[in-house]
Amino acid sequence: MSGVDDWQLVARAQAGDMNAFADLVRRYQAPVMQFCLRMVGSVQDAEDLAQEAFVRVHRHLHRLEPRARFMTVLFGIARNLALNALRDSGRRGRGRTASLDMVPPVGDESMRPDHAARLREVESVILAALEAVSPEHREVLILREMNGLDYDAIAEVVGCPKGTVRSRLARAREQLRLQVIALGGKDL
Amino acid sequence: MKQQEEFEMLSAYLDGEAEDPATVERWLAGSPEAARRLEELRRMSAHLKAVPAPEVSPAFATRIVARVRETAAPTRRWRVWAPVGALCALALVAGIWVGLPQAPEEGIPPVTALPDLPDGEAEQALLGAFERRDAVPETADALAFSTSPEPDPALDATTEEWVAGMADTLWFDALAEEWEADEDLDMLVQSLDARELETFKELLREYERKGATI
Repeated sequence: MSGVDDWQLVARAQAGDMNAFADLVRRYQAPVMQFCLRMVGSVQDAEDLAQEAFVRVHRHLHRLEPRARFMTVLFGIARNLALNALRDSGRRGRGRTASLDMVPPVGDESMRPDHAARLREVESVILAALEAVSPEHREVLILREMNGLDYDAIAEVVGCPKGTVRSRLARAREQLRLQVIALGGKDL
Repeated sequence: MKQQEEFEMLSAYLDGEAEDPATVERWLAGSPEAARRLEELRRMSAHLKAVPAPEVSPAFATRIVARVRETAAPTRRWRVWAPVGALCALALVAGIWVGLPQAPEEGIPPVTALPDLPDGEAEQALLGAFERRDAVPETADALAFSTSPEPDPALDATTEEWVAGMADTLWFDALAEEWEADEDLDMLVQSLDARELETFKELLREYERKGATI
């Protein structure tokens, strides 16, 4: 499957091949879940949003043209769903809950306990700071740093000019830095 | 340069998206403060990148595919049952035409009443095929959209729903003579052993008997 590009899978899925669509889901489920989770903060909500994003992208498959990037279409849908969820609930990423589908990341067992504890502490501060960044800045930061999208792709997902992505990312990083300091993580 | 502009320049440089990287590098070489801020940004970026993506179980994809199939199912049913509805309407109109206001003739099933699946056997046969998915991974994976070797309550529930849905679909496709055209059903049949195939054929025959009046 790894040798098959997105568009080949999309074309097969458009022809009704559900295996191809399932391959697309498997290819993008972790990054989309990551994006949704870091946007809304709740594992259960993120799972629901990610699932809905894939169902909606399937509904619109027949509209996709070869020039469209499947990934940006998918993230665009996930992003709209996440922003709607935040608007509806008034939450800003709180209330994590357990889920059957979410498996806790497995740590390196050979890692020294003090080093592992330090990494957990850093991660905890970074994630808490990220939650406090405003949604319009948080989304570009997640797409860039956690999903690895370039500026052009982020501009497509968010629906704004590349220059706006550039300035929002800078502001997002500044907000994150200030939040980290506020949380006592100056030495990170 | 304003502070915000400087920060944007460093941020874009960090991402490999600076419009003029050479200018930024010259500035960094002459400004320890700019270099310190870039280093700070780089550390923060590394911390964000290090946050692991949540691992998602194979049941996630299975559930999505099941949901997509669910939303597609009514269309197939409608396609098959539309002629039945037309027949019922025709029979009703014909009854009125000859002055006999009566219900459609016995034998034509009501449009809204779908035939029940026989209890147990067919579902068991299909579940047996799922349980052997490790032995025939490619077919079963395509069939079940699952690679999970572990028992998973969520997956089992989905599988049962899927099996019931597939058996239901099989009936309608058989009526519509689309068996050969349906790749999923081909794979399904290939994954059954001889005994299960016989059970399944019996199921089909039963459905054919039920549908003989259509």
